Amino acid sequence: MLNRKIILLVMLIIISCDLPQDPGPMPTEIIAQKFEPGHNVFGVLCNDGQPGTSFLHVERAWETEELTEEFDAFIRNATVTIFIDSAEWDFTYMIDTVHNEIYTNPGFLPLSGTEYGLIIESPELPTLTGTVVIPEKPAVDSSSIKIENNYIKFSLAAAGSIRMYDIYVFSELDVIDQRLISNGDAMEVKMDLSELGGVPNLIFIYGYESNLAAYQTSPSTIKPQTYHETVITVDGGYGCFGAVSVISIALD
Amino acid sequence: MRIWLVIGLSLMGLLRGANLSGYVADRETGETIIGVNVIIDGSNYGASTDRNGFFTVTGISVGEYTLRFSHIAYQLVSQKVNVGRSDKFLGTVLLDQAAIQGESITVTANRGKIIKRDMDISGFEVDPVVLREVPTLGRDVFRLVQYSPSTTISDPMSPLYYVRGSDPGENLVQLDGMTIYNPQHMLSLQAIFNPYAIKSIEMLVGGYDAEFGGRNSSILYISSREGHQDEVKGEFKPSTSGFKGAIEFPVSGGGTAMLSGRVLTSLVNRVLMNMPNYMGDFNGAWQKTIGKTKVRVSTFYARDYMDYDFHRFSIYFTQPYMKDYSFGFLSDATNLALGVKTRSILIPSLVAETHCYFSRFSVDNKNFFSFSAYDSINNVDVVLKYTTRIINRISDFTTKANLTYFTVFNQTLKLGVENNQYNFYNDTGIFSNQSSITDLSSALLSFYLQDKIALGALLLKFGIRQARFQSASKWRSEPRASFALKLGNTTIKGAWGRYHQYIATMNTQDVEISQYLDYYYPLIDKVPLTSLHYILSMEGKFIRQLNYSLSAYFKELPVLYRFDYNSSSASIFAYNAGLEQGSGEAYGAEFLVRGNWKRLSGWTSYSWSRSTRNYPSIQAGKSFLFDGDQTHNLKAVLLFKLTDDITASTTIKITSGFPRTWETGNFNHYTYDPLANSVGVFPEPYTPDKNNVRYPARVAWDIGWKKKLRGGFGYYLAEYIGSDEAYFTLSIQNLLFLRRNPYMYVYIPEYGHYGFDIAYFPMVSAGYSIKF
Repeated sequence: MLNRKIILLVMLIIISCDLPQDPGPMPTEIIAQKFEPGHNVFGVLCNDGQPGTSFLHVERAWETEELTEEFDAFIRNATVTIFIDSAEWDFTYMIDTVHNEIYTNPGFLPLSGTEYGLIIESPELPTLTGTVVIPEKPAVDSSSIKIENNYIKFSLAAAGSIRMYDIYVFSELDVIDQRLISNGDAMEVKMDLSELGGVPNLIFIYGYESNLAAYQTSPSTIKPQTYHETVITVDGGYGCFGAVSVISIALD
Repeated sequence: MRIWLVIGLSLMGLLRGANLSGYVADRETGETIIGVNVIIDGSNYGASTDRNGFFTVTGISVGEYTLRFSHIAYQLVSQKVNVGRSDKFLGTVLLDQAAIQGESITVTANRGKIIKRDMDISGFEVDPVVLREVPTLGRDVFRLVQYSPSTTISDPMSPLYYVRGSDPGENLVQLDGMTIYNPQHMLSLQAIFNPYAIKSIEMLVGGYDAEFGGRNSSILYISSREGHQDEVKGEFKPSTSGFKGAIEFPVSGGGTAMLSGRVLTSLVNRVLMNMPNYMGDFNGAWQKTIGKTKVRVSTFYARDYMDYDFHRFSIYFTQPYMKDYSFGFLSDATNLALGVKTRSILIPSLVAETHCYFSRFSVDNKNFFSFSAYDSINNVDVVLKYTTRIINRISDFTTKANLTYFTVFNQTLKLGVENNQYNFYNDTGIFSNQSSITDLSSALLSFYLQDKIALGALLLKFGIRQARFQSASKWRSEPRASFALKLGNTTIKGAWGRYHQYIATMNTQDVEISQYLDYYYPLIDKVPLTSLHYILSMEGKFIRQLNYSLSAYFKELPVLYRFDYNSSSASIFAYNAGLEQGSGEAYGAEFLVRGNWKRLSGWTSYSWSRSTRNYPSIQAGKSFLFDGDQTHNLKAVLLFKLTDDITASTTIKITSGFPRTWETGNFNHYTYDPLANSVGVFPEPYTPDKNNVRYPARVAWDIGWKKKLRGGFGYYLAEYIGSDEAYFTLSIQNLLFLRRNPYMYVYIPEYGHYGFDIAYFPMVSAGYSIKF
């Protein structure tokens, strides 16, 4: 009789425990905001003087429970249109060696100062729209470029449509980079050449408009169940529709 | 000027009776004693000694009296005093220690009885002997503080605590009056104060005097020991992870000194995982009385260093994916303080204090996570890369002085001035943002006046603090008032006060692996953090040795700040470009019972609380639960004196879970490589609602055992090296290990969410210490 009581007690303890293989107790008081299905886009209109370099990734958002080892968020049958008042371009699905899967248009070449619209439609998801104004090209006063005391210095001219710069300085051996947040005013650039490992011979400067600058600098988290603000620059979905203008400067 | 002062003081002296003042100290050690009742024999009239061991009995008529000095741990002393028309300074009254059985019972249980902190409406005072008697507290001040009914936590891996719904950055911690910034070790999650060096721990959780400024939520005031006047005394505690030690001794010329230190490292991490780590803290104090002036020099230094990369653990695994990740943190923190304090009895009814100190904290804290894998389905490289690096430094050079005057109508007036010269340095980079640097200096100048009036059973306090942050900004007022009305064995207390804080802290709980410290920013050209306290409480006795207190509070928080990470990209970390102003409120009720019953002593409490926040950019300004909101808190610290040599103890915490943000969906976040004109992706949760779930309730039960050794190796070792006593301690933490306390859920495909706990098994630790 005593043994039975002990066995019952042990069983009671075990079934009331959270054993390591159990998921454990779950949270309560969930204020459930319903999952809103939608496209998740990352589009970059690239003002580098070459047609066909602009692209879009088109995926969808998903609920946590959808995640499996075979899960694939990419949407391959979307209708993607970029337009201005007087014209429109269809971006089509393709696979290339750089981007893998993207939507692009080989003839599309964006122009500085022009506002482009975006419409993405696909079955069973709400239509996504967005706009972006192509930023002006970064401008450097060539006379300001100086290499002194293992530093390279130059002046970036005021550019009201640029909110962030990525600057790369190349040598034959290596490359160094610097990111600068901009409010549109002229800026002085100073970069340490000590880690370049050679004589600088080329500068690339990328100027981002506000959508892409905000998206790229938005923080994220790897901690589950933590709040972070999501940057969304489109309507009716998730993600970013932005633009970048590029210049390169060869150094003597 | 001086003549008018003397005339004024003399006139006021004629209006009232005489004042009797003095210090009370331990005859053997010379240490001043806090909480000694000084009563005029045959009456209930008297005072108790403050944290300096100083008392003033005010308004006594001419005559001959007997003063009784009583303290539970000391023999009663009576002293005859002839009182004339003028004030009298009695010097230092010495008490002999009582032969008590088990200090844990007699001292800690009666602490509430022996200390009459007349007006500190929301105080939580515990004798540090509790740290020594309850092994499960790990001899740590912060673990002890978490057993206050007013505290909650939000991250079990962090030592930061929340007091009555306010942010951890609104808690002020002072060691001997010096502000210590981030007084916690990361490695052990403990406070950086050696328990042996602590003389008293006093925590004020609201409604505090105008003397305290610059923080809106709580004051943790720690007094360190003064040193032994005749002998060399101390404690030494070696362990496999390091050592702790303290020594106090007389110094030639009549002074006393105390030195203490701890150095610890985790050998498991260092040897098995090649992860360098160490932490240390050192206290020093020297004190001397010159005439009627006490001079005290205090110094403090602490250092933490950790270099954890769990990638180094991969040497034990053969799986290739273990080679392609890096996860960990590198933290280097230093804390130091040095100060000189004087306390002079100018005349028996006029006390002057000056204090000058320098306190500095700096940290370089890096969290990183990176993982790369090939996604064969989508034919892309999946790259997860996440880094935060925050370099933060605050320097505080403070000079302050005050005058306390015991004057007519049993009034105590305190007038003070405080000047803080700050320097803030910050260099923060989070995620892909490159860091930006801020280096700012600022000054906070404050004046305060506090008046305490005793009218029979009614005690009133009024105070005002005027402060100006930066010379160009305007003066701001912080009025405060409180009362205490004694009705038989019951005391009713109430308080109201306005509090301003000119330093904000950055909440990185959502972006760092664990936020274990605060990062400080000055609120230059901003409205200061503002908090209004409304408190009502009742205190009394159930039976002779069982006290209770019931408190209700409401805190209005009209000005709060958070760092809006998205508002202006990387530049937000530069200074205040990303500071978003919001508001909030907190309210609750706390019930505390403490005392002793037969061989059982300790305290137990229940509290109910609520705290919310509003910020324009979060949920369109809708109110949401504050991170530190734990609705229900049931806590207990109990000691049971089994024999004269053995104390068993237990600590229990049953609390509501933490508010957390449960994702409503997920999507891939893209990183752009402009050189290749290509992208990388990583999955990211979508979290439109902050703190939309509450984690399950948390239950923690630990037990401890402390035994004074009377034989065996430990006893003979202590005897051999000439020490007085040796102790063995044992603690078992997480007794209810089969009951999960999740602190994080991870979604595992085709399994579901799995809740991770910190401790899956009981943690048993044994210790040995010797006292000399």
